[in-house]
Amino acid sequence: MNDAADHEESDAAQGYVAGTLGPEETAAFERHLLTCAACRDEVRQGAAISASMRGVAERAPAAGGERRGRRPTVWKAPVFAGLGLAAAVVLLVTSRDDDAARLARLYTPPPFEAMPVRAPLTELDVLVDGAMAAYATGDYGRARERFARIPAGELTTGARFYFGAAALADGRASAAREPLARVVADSLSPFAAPARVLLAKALLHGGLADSALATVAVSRDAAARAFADSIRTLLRPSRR
Amino acid sequence: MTSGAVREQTLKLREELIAMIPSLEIIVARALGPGDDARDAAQEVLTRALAAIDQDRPIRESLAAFVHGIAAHVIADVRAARARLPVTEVDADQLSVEDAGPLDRMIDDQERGAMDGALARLDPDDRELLRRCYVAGETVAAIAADLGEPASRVRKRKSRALQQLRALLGPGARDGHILADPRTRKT
Repeated sequence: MNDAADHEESDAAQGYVAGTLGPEETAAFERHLLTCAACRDEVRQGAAISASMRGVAERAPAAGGERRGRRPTVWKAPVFAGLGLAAAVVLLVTSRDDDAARLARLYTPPPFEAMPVRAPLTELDVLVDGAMAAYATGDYGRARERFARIPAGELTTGARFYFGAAALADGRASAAREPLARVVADSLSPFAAPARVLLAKALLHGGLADSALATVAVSRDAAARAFADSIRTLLRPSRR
Repeated sequence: MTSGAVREQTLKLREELIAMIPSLEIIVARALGPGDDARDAAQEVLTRALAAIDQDRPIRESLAAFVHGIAAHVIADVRAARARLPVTEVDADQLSVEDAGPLDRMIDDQERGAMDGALARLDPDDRELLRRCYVAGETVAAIAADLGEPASRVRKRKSRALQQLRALLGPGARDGHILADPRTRKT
C-alpha cells in the first residue's frame, strides 16, 4: 500500500476493523496505519459502525469494568490533593521514632491525581505522562527512570517534585536531591514547602543531618518545622 | 553528516513520531483492549522510540516499521505479564466478548448512540453494505461479485455512505474523527 492507487483499492482497513486479516496482513496494515491519516480515520469510523451494529459499547467502570480504575489519558500538571495527608504521615512517623534511617525513609510518597486537559499532546507531554503514569501506579523505579530521560531544563517545577519523590521512594536518595533542590529554589511554587521535607529526607539518607536541618528549619510550613524538630532531636548529643 | 543535518533529521523523526500517536493508540488498544494497559503500552513505545531517536541510534527500516517493531515487543510483554496473572485478577475487559469486533470496545455509549442515529438515517442498502464491510469483513470484490455489480461501483457506494455518515454526525466528524479523542472530549 505504498501508492495512491493501491491505497484506493485496498480493503485492509475494513478487514482490520472486522478482524479478518491474517497476522502478516495485520502487521503490514498497522505499519501503514502509523503514517496514513486517511486509513486511521476509516478505522475509527469503521470501529464505530461495527460497535453500533453489534451493539457493543465500552463498559462503564461502575459496571465492573476496569480492575484498577480509569485514568484520563493525559496529565498536564500534578495536583496537591493529599499532600496534607503525606505531611501528617511524616509527623506521625517522626514523633514515634527519631532513628535517622526511619526519619529519612519516605513512608508515603505524595499522592498524584491525574487531571484531564484539552490541549495538544506535545513531545514533552508524552514523556512526562509516561513518568507520571508509572508514578500513579506506584512504580516509582520506572517513574524515576522515565523522568531521568527528560532533559532537566524542560521539567516543570511540579514534574521535578514528583521526579524527586519517585527517586526517594525508589531508594535513590542521591538522585532525588538535585530535582528537589531546584523545587525548593522556586520559592513561590506551592511545591516548595513539601519539597523541603523530601529534600531533607534525601539529605538524611546521605548522612547529611545538618544540611537536612538547615533545609527545613527555615520553612514556615508546619510539616517542615515539625520535621526540623525531629532532626534536632536526632542531633542532640545525648541521643547520638 | 554535519551536526546541523543530524539535528534536523532528529527533529524530523520526532515530528513523524508525534504524528503517529493516534494510530499507535489504536494499534495497542486493538491488541490489548482499551484501558490502562493500552495507555501504558503506548507510552512505553513512544518513550523507547524517542530515546532511540535522541540517541541517534540507526533506524534501518522506516520509522513506522521501527515503531511497529517496538509496539510488537511491548504488546507481547504485556500479554506475557497477563498470562502470569491468576484468571481472577485479569481485567474482565480483557476477556474477549464473543460477538465484539477487535476495536468495538474503544467506542463508548455516547459515540455508539450517535452512530446508531446516523446509521438509522442511511439508506438500508448502504447500511447493509457497511455491515458487510466492517462487521463481516468481506472485501469489496467479494460483495460486488455477490451483488453482480462492478467493484468500482460498490467502492463508490461505500465511500459515499461513509461521507454521508460523517455529515450526519456533524462538524466534529468532518475531519474523520468519528470517535471523540479522549484527550479533547468534554466531560
